[in-house]
Amino acid sequence: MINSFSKRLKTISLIFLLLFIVLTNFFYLQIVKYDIFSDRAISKVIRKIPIDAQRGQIVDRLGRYIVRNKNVYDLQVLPIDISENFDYNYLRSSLGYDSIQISSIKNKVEKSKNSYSRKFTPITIVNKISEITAFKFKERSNQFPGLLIRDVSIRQYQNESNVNMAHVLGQTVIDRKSYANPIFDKITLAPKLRGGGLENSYDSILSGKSGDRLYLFDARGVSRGTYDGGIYKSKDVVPGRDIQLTIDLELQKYIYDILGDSIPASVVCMIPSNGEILAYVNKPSIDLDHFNTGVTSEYLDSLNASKANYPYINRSIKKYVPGSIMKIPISIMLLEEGVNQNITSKCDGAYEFGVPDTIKIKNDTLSIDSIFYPISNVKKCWLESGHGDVDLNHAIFGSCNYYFYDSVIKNYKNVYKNRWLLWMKKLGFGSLTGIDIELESSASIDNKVKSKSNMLNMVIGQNIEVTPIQVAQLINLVANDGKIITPHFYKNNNIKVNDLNLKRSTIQYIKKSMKDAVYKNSQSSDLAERGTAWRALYNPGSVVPWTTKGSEIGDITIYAKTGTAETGKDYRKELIDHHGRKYENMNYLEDKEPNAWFAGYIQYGNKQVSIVVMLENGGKGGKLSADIARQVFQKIIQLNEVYGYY
Amino acid sequence: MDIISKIVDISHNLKFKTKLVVPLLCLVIASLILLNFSNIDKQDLFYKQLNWVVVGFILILMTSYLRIDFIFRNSYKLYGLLVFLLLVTIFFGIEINYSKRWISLGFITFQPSEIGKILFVFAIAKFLSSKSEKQYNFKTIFILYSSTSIVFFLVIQQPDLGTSLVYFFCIFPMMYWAGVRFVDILLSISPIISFLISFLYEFGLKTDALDLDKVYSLILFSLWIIILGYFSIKRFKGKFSHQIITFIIGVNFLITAFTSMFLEKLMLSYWFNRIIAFLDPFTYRNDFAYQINSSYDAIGSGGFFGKGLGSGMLTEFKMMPIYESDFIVSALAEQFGFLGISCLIFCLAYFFYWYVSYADKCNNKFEKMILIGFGSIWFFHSFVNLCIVSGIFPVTGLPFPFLSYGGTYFMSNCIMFSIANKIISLHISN
Repeated sequence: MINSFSKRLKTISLIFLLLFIVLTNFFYLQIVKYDIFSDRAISKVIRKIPIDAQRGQIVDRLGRYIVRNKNVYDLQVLPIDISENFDYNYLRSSLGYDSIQISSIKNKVEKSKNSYSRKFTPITIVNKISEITAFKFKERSNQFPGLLIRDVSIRQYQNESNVNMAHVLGQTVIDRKSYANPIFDKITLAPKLRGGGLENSYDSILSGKSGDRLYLFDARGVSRGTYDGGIYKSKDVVPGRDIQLTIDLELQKYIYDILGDSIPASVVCMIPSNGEILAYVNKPSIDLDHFNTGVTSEYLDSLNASKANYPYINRSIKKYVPGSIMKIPISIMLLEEGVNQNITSKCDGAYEFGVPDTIKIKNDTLSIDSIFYPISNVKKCWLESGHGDVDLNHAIFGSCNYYFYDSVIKNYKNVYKNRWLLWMKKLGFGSLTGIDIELESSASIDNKVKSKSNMLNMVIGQNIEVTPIQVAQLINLVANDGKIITPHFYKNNNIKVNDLNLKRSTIQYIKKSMKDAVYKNSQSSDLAERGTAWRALYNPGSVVPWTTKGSEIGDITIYAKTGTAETGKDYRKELIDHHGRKYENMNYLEDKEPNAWFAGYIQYGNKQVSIVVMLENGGKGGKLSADIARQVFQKIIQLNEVYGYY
Repeated sequence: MDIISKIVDISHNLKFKTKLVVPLLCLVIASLILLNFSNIDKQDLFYKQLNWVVVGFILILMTSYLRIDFIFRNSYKLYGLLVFLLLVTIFFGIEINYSKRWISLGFITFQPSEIGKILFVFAIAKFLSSKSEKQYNFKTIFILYSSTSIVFFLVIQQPDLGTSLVYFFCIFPMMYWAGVRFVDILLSISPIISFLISFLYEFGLKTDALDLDKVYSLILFSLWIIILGYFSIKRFKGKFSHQIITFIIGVNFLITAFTSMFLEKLMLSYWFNRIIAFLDPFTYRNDFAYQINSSYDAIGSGGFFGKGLGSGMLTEFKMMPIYESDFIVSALAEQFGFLGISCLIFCLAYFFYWYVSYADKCNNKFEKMILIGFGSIWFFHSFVNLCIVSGIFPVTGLPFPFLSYGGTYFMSNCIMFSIANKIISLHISN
């Protein structure tokens, strides 16, 4: 009996002991390790479904839409829901697919439908179809059981800004992070990283922050509703903010339209007092709509076909030989350095070097210049008959090269040799302007060899290169009495002003000379006495300057300087396209037309608008570019009369 | 008429022991609640199980009229029937999920190895009760082992590791309660213990860079041999004692050596993966350790009070495979937390306490052996199931008695309970 009792006791003890061990283990799992396991359990069933942030819109200075958003659509199917009714024929005809493509989709669907794990995972049929096509599918939803349509936001350009503002806005691309299950795809509209324009510069404002919502999914991938509370939080989506530009859309479009298609051009209009860019036109341009939904190879080929014109080039921030435009900064330098502006030089159309009086003045030996420049070398003024006696004022408005050659010879040591670089940098050519779009070129204003002969080229704006936007900055500097203000597209009040503290007399003198370039003897037939920018005053066939009729918004005055820059025979022999490929462009070996510049500003009442026109190989600056400038001025006055806004 | 009265005892008055019925009813009700509310998609399981419960109750009533002495007389024939059915399964069985365990009779599909547990217990009980305590020797043990091995191998080849282990382990409590000496049992299963130890040794060698497991395994093995030697010397005092002791220890050494040598081949077997998954579940969490990891997550995330009925996300979202049968304890743990598990274990403790107490009072040796056999089957099932879901043992398919979903298994449990209840209520007054 005792033995039997001990058997019972032993058995029960063993049972209790074993059960207690199990209970301890459960205690360990459920109480001690609760945090770890509950975290793991939740993470097993929770999935984040991204919600894309709507990109901010872009408006012009009057609040007119430049860029808005529209939707394209991704077509997906859920294999489990697809029945025999699914209208593959319509799918085929509406998407323009051939039978092979359709049957491959069919196969994929059927395979997934029979797979336990994949039948709940949507399959993408096609991405980015248009609203019309998507609407057709929505209409026929009974023919397409299991069809899912997902919105994808892309850019919609207003008022043809896809073409006329392509370089300002920059390309956007759909950035798609794909997952095995397309409902987890993260689709964002992102700027093209390199040379992305304003879309890239202000991406932080425009893009917003994409959020996500937490959903519960079971083992087969079927959604079981949203998850809220607990340790995981869904992230709210922050839509991108709109930005307002300084651009005047109407002016922008007008300028783009009046520029012909034959000549590559850059036109920049700005308000000198605050650096706002009113219009920024490059021609030729690209069409952003083509890049929006995925660029076709045909379109890329058509862009590459026009090799010489390079539609990709953002011309306004690319460097060009400035020609006589450089006479303005040089004159500022001369005036600031105290060179007497009234001393005249006698221009006879050509400047001969090697004359003993002028070159071998110092120590009776040959200077190094005379080796590079033989005695017989002659540098011409543009007016072969000569300007006669010219002072600085005349040299600016008549664009006399002779005067500046002479000034180099006279002032090389005391001004040009050491002060040139300093002044060019001071006047904004030494650094980037800091305009708020990317890929701005830096000017080359310095020749490695410091010599008088180089200076003789540089003084008339050859052998150096500056960008149109820098020239516009210079014109602003003249117009606003010596302040450098960073050009910008984004309308805000944080403008950077750098006052150069130039002499008041210098500014007045330059302004007068620029005014003379337009008005001085504007109807005279004597080229030597007439200002070079006179065309800015006369409409074709008219003998009365258009400005004389005045305007209710105040008296109109135009200040300008033209430039004709020789691009030379072998200039840019090597061309580099946007892919970085190099071309030996044989076309450039022949004489090209010079680059035609027009830089100036219009004053009406107490308001000003500056303009820089640069026509690549556009002929003489006084002709075509002045014509364009005149039309733009007129448009500006007209817009002001209507709206009165700048 | 005469034959029927030999089999059935019509005058039997059905009585239940409350102390046994209440915990089991708790389990059945818990099972029905879990099946109904855990997963809305699988509510049909609830109705099926409800049918089984009704059928099971009828079966309990019917079986209670069966005469125990009829069983006693035909025990060996029933054992023959079991072997026959298992052989039939090999040749005519239905294969589901890569294992051949079921026989179809046209209108019903059943699992012979499940019903066979009962028949097996009858045979072993009769064999043990046919001898007195003093007659037990190594020959008795050898006969027991051989008859077990036949069934064991027939079941394990299906393959069904879980059930075959039930056959194997339920004979030890019966032997112990019948009066076979503990030392004899220990010595008789010493080769198996050696096998397991050598297994650990090899496994430690392969996984641990520091070979610490190897050292521990060697220490373990030395200890084991010392214990074995001590018991052998204690047991065999007399003629040939040296030879017998040397033989036992030699066999153990050989087993260890062979296991080490053929471990590579052993590793290719299907259930070896389960052992690896058990030993290192986090590395293999997406492969064969998926089940045990899901179970861990479900249990662990239950916490103290659980997530509430119907809010067990892992159960509901089908993250946990076969939650309704083998892993129903995980579903319980997820939804009712540690509190629910404590109740479950309290239920078990209460049931087994009274069950063992009643079995102890039984004077008929055959009946006592049946009680102990059934009890050890139930305990093995419930304990090993708890260990599997909580990660103490590797995953093998073992359902939890009266809690898991499953027709044949519930039926066999009902039959076992009915017989046990009859024995207890007939011979034990309180």
